[in-house]
Amino acid sequence: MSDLRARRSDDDAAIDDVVETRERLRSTAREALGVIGDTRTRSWREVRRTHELSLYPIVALGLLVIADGFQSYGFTVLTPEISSALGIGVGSIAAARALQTFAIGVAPLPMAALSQGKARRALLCIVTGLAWSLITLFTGFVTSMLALLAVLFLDGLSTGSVTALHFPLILDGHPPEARVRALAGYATFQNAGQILSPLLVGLLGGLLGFTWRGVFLGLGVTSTLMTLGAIGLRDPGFGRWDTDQVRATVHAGENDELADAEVTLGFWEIVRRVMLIPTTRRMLAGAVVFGVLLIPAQTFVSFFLEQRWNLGPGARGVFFAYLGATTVAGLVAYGRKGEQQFRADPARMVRVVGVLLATGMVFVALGGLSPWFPGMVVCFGIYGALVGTLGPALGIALLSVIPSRMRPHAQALFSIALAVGGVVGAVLFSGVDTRYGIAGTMVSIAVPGVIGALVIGSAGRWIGADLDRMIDEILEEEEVGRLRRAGRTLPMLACRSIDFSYGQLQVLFDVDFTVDDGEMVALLGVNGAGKSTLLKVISGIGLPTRGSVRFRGKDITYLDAERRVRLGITQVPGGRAVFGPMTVVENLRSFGYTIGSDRKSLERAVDTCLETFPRLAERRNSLAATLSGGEQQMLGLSKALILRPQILLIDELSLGLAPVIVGQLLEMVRAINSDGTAVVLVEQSVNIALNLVHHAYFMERGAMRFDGASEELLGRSDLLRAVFLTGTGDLGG
Amino acid sequence: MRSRLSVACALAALLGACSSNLNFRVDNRLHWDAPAVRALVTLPLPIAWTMTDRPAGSFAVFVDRAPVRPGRTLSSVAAGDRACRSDRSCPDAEYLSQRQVYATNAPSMILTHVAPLLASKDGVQVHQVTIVLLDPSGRRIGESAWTREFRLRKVSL
Repeated sequence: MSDLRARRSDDDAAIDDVVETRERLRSTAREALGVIGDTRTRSWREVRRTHELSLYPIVALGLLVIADGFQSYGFTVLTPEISSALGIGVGSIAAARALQTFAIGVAPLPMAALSQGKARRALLCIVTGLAWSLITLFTGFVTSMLALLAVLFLDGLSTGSVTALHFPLILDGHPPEARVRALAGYATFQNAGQILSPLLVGLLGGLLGFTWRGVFLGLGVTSTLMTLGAIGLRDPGFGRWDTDQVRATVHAGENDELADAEVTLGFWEIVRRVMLIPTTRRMLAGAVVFGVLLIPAQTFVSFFLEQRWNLGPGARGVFFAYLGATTVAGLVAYGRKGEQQFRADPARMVRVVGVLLATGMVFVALGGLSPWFPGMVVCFGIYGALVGTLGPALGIALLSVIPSRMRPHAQALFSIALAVGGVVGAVLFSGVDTRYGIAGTMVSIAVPGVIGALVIGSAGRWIGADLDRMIDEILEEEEVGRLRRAGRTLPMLACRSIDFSYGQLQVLFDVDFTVDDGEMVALLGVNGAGKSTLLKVISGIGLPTRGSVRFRGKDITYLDAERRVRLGITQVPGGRAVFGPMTVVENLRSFGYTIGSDRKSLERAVDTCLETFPRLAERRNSLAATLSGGEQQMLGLSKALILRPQILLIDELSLGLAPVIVGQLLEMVRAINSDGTAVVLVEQSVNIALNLVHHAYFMERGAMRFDGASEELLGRSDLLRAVFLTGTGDLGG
Repeated sequence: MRSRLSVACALAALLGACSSNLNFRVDNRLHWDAPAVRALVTLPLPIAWTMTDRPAGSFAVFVDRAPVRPGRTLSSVAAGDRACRSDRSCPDAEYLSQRQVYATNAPSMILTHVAPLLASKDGVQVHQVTIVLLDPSGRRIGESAWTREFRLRKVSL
């Protein structure tokens, strides 16, 4: 008893240390991430000299992104020639392009998955660059629809590396004070590709007299040479300039412990975790709406130029090159300004980008309505320049709130959101085109554009808090590591600052909760206080919107529930925690299957359960649904005997049961605890709980109102209202 | 084993081209005389061209549709049309002209009808006419195709 109290006191001191360190270092860590609160920026040259930065990574990735556009541009321009030569209808080629678009949409996810365990992003970029170069080359030899489908699909898959990996690589290769400009530099290459591609196609197809086959051969060779130019690209590692810098504020010069494989997040866990970040969620919503405009826009602008202004393919190529040039001009003008805005106030930067994008969309509408050709050209030029800010500013806003290893996943989700919007846009605007003609379409695509831009801009509301959240996570991780290395004891389970929401309804507010090895604690509160929700957060059935859950010092906040079972966290849910249509024995076996026990040891554990609960042995072949309430709870508790967890979370054990049955069950709980399993007992009945435990928590309206010795809680009449204590007095002892 | 087979099939599909007669340089043997590029025209529309080094055979003219595949005859225009396949005389010239496909030995012809593009509501529509070469047996020669765009006011149906 006194040992438990002494250990709890040590643990509380350790947690106080973590919280204190986190608060103390937060502003320093923010500066390490480049948010310094004013607009001071050093010149690009000065930053490069100070940090000995090479331009090569930007150039290498720039070469890759330019080469990536060749195949797609070639198809856009040469579709009529391909159709005539192969005798394949334009509709079939359009269907093949749709398949390519689908591949481009899904490909970033496997790229993110391939790069999450090890920093091999540069290698993936080079390999996929060589792949799409060969595919472009092969396109020149295509003779059938099947081959056409193959080259387009494979090209779409290989380009996933651009979306998922390029921005994260640039961020990790540059210090925060240079990132907007580095991204702007990269985006300049991207847009230069819009100028180079038409020039190259024009040179090969016009001056050199090649057919579409010859053009693809030329593009393939050029793409291969450009990819070879990027072969010196190296991965800078995850978080070299940000998360590592934040870690260094806790302890400079110490080696990080390797992440425990047991608690390292898997692919879908990372995706789910990224989706829980409010800034990311809002930006993804904005991307879906913006995608409605962005992807069909290229096609519709082409039709608009052809039908409204009678521009042929060559003139349209010149027009798109002009748009690329205005975008480059916008990027050059915006780079340093964006850097200053981010350093001073990231939220303001995001809002400004939203406004700029919305303004750009208005100019698209004006361009669509302009009866005067130069007026249309000027309007679209302004649109190009304003939209030029999109890439770097959105990149920095989206990725700066996400830990380095998870950035490819966020990028992949963003591209999928754009693609989803694009599909909707293609369907939607085909109808608008049929009804109102191409000029009407150009005006209407501005509508989702403006809405999407404003939604993206509104993400600024959360970005500051999300930056701090990421900083807190890193600082907490580092401080916990430091305490462990210093030999300090940490609690077995520690929940800190937990917020949880069901949709828009927040039900947990800044909840702290701690359990030690072998301890039995009670979690008390009236109906709807948030007790069961907190158990869900601990067992992984629900994920918090803020805060952390640590098990033996390791962060398990976003780990899947089934992985937590293997770690030793088991929950007996409230109500009847059994499978009704299965027999008693089948229920017991099913508990074992969750941890993959071998048949012999599982049968031994089942026999132990039946010996412990003779009543269950009598009804071993009965369906669980036919058991009484008490028998069903016995069966639910048997989970602990099968799984042998380190911590058992029991929700509402006594609910609706006769006192004598409750007494039997509590004896069982005591026995489980005395075997070394920590127990969290969620109860509405204070008497039942306080008869068993020495430490209690009391929750009210989603907040933790009491954390202390159970006898102290009994003295808190403000919390324990009379109604709460009635009806269970006969259980004393 | 199965994956190797798949790779082999994919390679065969991709490399099947190697045995074919692929065009890598633009075939400049045919020059358009009429209509002018993207000219605004009216019906009936005379179209004319000049060809140097003309091989034995005829021309096939396709309006607003892809030509038949290299090595195929104009009967492949009726591919998938069960009613036509059950009729020995089908496809005939009338069937083909209803689908805006014409065969001619002369380097000119007159288009009396061009179907409006239903997908578009624009008053002036861009159409395209494509010419390919047919050998004496009526099969398309190589991949060479010559296309010209012209503009036509849409006629309400």
